[in-house]
Amino acid sequence: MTSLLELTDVTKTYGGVVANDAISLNVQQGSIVGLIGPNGSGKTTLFNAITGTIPIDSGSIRFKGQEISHCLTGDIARSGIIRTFQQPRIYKAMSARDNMLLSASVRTEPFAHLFGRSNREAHDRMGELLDFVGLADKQDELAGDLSFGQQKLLELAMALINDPEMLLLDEPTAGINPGLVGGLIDRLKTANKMRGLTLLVIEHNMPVIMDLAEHIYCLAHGRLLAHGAPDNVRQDARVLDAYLGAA
Amino acid sequence: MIANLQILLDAPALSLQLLIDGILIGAVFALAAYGLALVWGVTNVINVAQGEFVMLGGFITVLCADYGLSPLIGMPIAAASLYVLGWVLFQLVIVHLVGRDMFNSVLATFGIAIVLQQLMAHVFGGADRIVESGLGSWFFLDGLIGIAKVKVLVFVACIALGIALAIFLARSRQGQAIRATAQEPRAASVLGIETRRVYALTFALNAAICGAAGALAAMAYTIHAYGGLAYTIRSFMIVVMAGIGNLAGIIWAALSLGVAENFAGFILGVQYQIAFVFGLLVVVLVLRNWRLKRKRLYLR
Repeated sequence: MTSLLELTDVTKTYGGVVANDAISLNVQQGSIVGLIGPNGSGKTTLFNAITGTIPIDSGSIRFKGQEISHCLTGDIARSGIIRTFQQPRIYKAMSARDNMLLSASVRTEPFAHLFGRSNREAHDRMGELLDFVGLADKQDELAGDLSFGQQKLLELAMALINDPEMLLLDEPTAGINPGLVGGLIDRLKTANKMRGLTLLVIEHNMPVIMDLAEHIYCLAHGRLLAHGAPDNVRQDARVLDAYLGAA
Repeated sequence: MIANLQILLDAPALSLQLLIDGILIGAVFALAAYGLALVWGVTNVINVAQGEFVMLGGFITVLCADYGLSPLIGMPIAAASLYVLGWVLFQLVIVHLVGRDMFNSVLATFGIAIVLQQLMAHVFGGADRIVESGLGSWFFLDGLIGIAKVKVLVFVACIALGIALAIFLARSRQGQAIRATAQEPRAASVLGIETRRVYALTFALNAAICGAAGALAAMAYTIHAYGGLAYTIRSFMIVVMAGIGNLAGIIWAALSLGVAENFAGFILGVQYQIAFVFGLLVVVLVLRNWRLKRKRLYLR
């Protein structure tokens, strides 16, 4: 496998607080990588840095071999990295269908909707993805009226509609009905296997991330504490210290 | 004032005339206010230069008329010119205001308004200007009611532009991107929408709307280099009354303002017409503040 995303010594500070301290990590194409750590360890900051939402102080972020640390968020998205958020960020005043089509419209024909020539490909893809996340019967509902879990699933479908090469998921199972978590994990695994989608996942639910990820990075206080196969990380004394607060 | 009120009571046809004139000019107010609401809602920038954009659009139409062009050709030229100006101003000034405290945008656009006022006064002079339509009027009720055909034309054009804009926002890719960015700018950017471009498009579109509104105003009403502030205040008041994103409310508030202003102009005297608008703004803000305070007390 080749390296898809490569971070080298990424540092980000807010005033005197070091949110990310020389973080280096590597995500192989087609893999599922977990990013864990206690609250405030710098995981979401790292996502913000990768997607260009915040500028980094130093270090390098390379995607498909290209430096992207100075690129605009929209350009990074169009290059193939899409993310989701802890709190789903969807267009709540629009229907689930419009949310999907708008997310797809980045690559559809300009003014297609204006002249009634709605992009058939985007429509087909919308139906397929809403079905994939189990929201096929909700497409006419206002996104703001969906349950929290359904909003997260809609956000996932919106992220998938442009066929990204890499998906950054920020706590995908948080707030989701436990009965639906298994189905979500299966869908993510399917997307990884069938579409070759590379996943970098922040997750606090340890059984979920241990089951999902092939490789895990653990952060604490902005630093990279440990990384490796899930079983190794799970047994790492430093990781246990960070989570359990042992001396 | 009492005597004027008595005249209104004695001559109902005059009240009808004021009502019709108020509704007709209200459409121009609605168009300018719609643009202000669009920019405010998407970029969180209050454009204090809104009225100057309207006046500039009017002067461009006057200039076109001076060169023998029909005002109906002058209007798209004014809209296009203002679109370019809006785009340039966004890249030079407004881009630095997006996401910042709203007070910064008020100050910066106030500066733009002063520069535009002075430039217009220097280039076009300080006199009132109008484009003569030569269309004449319709008369009803034995000549008691007169409606200038050009005012009806302007009214219809404003409605048509408003509908076109609403369709653009609802159906086109760019329009949907504008709505998405207004709702969730961060999500829009991480999903690949170029939010900076959307902000620029929104500001330029607003300037174009103002340009068209100014062109229409110049056909039926007078324009003046220093007349922009009144349009800004009207637009601001309409948006405060209706709320951002409430198109029906904006139209209703604008038409009501047009009518109220016309009646105030007759009852108080034309010299107090603009003063009435400014006074009404203070009343609206005080009432709004009072209502919000009551709501906060209720929630507590």
